[in-house]
Amino acid sequence: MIIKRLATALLVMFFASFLSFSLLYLAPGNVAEAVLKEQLGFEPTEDEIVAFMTRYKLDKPFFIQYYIWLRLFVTGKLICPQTGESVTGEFLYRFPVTLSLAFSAVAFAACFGIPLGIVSAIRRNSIIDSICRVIASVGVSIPSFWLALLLILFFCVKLRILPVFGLGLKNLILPTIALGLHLFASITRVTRGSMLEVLSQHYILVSRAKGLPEKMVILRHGLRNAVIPVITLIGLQFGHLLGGTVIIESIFSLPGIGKFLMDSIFARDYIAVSAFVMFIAFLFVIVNLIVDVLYTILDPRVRVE
Amino acid sequence: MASTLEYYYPFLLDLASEFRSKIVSPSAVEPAWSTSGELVKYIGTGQFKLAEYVKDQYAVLERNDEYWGEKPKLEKVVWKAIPDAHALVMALKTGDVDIIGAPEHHSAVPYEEVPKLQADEDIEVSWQSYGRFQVIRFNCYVEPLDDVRVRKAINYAVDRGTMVKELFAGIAEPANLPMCSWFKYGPIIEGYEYNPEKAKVLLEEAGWIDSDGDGIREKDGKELEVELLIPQGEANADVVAVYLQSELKKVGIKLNIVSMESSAASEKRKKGDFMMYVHHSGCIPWAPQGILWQNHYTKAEGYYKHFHTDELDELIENVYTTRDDAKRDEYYQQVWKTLNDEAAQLPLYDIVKVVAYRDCVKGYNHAATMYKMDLTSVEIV
Amino acid sequence: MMKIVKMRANTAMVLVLVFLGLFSPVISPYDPNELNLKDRLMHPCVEHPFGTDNFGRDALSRVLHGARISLFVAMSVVALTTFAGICFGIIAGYYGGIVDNAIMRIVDSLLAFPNIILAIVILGIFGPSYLNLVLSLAAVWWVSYARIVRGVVLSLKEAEFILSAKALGAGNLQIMAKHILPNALSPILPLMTLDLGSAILAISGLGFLGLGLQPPTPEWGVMLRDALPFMETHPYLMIFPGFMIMVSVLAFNMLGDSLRDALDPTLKLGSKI
Repeated sequence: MIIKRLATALLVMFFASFLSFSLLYLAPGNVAEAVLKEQLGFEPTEDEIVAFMTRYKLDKPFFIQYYIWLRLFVTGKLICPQTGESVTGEFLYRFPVTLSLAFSAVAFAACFGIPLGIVSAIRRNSIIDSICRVIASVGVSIPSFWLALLLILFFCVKLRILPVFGLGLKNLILPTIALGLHLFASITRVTRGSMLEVLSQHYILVSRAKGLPEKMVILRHGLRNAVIPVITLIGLQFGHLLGGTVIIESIFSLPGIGKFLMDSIFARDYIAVSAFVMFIAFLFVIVNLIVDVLYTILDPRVRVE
Repeated sequence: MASTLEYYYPFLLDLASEFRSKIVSPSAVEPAWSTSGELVKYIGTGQFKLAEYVKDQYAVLERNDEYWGEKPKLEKVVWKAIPDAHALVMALKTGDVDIIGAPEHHSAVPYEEVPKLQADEDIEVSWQSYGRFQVIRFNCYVEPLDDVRVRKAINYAVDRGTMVKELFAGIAEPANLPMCSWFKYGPIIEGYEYNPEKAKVLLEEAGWIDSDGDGIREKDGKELEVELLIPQGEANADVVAVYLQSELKKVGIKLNIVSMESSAASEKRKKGDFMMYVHHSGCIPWAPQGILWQNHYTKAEGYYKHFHTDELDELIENVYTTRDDAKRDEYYQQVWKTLNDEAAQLPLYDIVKVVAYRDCVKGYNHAATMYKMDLTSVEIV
Repeated sequence: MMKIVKMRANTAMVLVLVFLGLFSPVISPYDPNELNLKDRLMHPCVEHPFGTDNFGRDALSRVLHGARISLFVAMSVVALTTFAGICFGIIAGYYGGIVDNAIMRIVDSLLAFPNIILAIVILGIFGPSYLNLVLSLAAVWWVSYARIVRGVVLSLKEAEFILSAKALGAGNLQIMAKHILPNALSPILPLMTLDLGSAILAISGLGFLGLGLQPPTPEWGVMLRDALPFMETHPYLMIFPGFMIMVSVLAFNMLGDSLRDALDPTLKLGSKI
């Protein structure tokens, strides 16, 4: 089982590397000219372009370049022309920001979504339930960038209680909400659904018959099993969370991976772009693996398989 | 240079300006003293020293007390990296920063935000022209722009005054000459004024008639269609493009807008694979010859196909080789007259640099060139 | 009973949107691209219920045309996605073996890939255009359809009526079209509807970043981007397009949910964005 997952993971990485490099190779415009122009501020000469291309070995055929690129990437020696640093270095420098943002978005979504889902399930078909379901439906439909703008308009411009940009703790509040809202809505829904399912199971009836207080029944037995689909959900949605960070980081000027990807695209630094697509694929694969492992631990039925 | 002319041109001031070259300490490079080495330390000779640098976030500059010239009044400057134009304005409004727009060489403060800033009591806005025009270059070798009447019509059709007044809050100055006139050797001629009726007449003369009543003219079954290529990063170009589209439609020309990343756009331009291209004329400290060289002199290396004639080539050569300054001026005027008569470009407006600051900042003066930031007499009260 | 009422209500919502989209040129009070610099940045009033933007264009007309554009592009994406997904799914299920394995490996790897990032990269590198937009979004989304269709094919492959059809001499293509496709439709329909919502979100997100459709196209995401400098003084320029995005996505999501409940409640469909 683990072997199968690892094999798929490796395949994804290989596929991603091929894709990333192809994008780099097929990119229109001369990478040398583009990057030099950005750096110098005016047109580079023919000699400068040739020197750049020789230095980065851009004049060799496809597979040789692919091999060189891959080797450089894996050994951490791939240099990002935009800044002169290694792409691995750039990634590690920015990774903490994106990680904190993603982490707090997931925490926000889970801490608010799970309780809301539980409440909704327990008080099924009541007003609270209806409200929760509306929130869940609407939450999944709101465009995150629009929400971000609305939040900025309200909290930063009108009320002036939160700063627009910067890197402190206060700065993470609005981006977290904007990024986490979809996940929050989905978690609410899924928790409600799985809670409802779990609550109707036999072992719940048994616990109640045993005379355990209702709270214990819910928390002990219901919650643990209801949480499993949530973990799967987080794993499935993580890809979209990563995608969301690109937009949110751009809006709030947070110096994370997503923002650097956008900056590299606009700076025509396709070496950085291809490398970062690889890194993102890698993150996504790791998270999926973790989720799979967690799933195996939490759900004993799966282990038997 | 691919030519064998003997040049004689007052380049000295141009070459000596700071933008062109910076003094680098030999020990800042690795290996030391190597002209092709890598820069490893930031050792400057300016009014401020680099005290701290966090990449992509901020830099802290401290006054250099050993500076040879006039020392700045400020002790410390924190330079924050805010890449987005709107975030920039917001940061100023909320007081996160004290001054914006000063370091960049183009106008980092969008013109449309200026009225909002001016309305704020705690903020002052000032701008400075450096003679840099936003100019649209025509490819005079492709249809329909190969007809000088069409090019003139386009020049007559655009109401630059309204554009500047409405879209740019009256900040920039409209421009209708290929180059700024207050430069040395600048054009002293009359440009094209807004006259849509004349534009229509010219188009009719050229054979473009709106036969099917859809508002766009045709000739020999083809629509009068032109394409504007915008290299991304060109200030305000998107706004201008939309306005142009509407103005040209009023006289029966259909304008398509293509926005492309700047190096791909530049390649298209080199190959001559474009119709209209958003560009700019020179600004201080560049002298007019730079623009002539690349855009109109066919023997120049990296020549862009815009417009040329043999007479123009000769005139440009005269500009570069004559030793008589008065005659040089004469030749220049002839060049400008040719370019203007042939309507080889569509000048738009003067790209002024806007700087905004909170009213606690006193003594800010615009630097001598677009590329510098002058904080010498600035103090915070 | 409730299900049917809900389904009717949701269908109605979607139909209203489609109506707005189809007839926007007729019901828009102004040409969405007509500049009128004298009337720029007007607040909502009788002549301009949504106000005017930076160029004096009527915001209401632009929002209405935005519905048309969003729907059209979203439908293009879903059409391509469904087509590719069905093709691959049928090929994988029907022919089995190495082909099936290969396709399923790809499906597994792409299943939750952040395709907005792929779209951003493709559009950023190759330039924003309608074609690139549709292709880059469809490039990853087809996998869900392939999986479902393959499942249907596998379950039906050994079914009686298929075997008898084969015995009667029906060709492979005929079998696929007549017997397999109709059965695949019921799980696919809700997915298509949900994907229409996701497509609208993706398209407007990319438009907002400047990588999707380009100005002066009245696309909702592009309108949001244009409204940024005037957020403080004219917030509704930003509020209305965003609200329309939300409403459209909500309509399709709810319809998709209803369809799923009606057709196949066991299906686990997540949102894509």
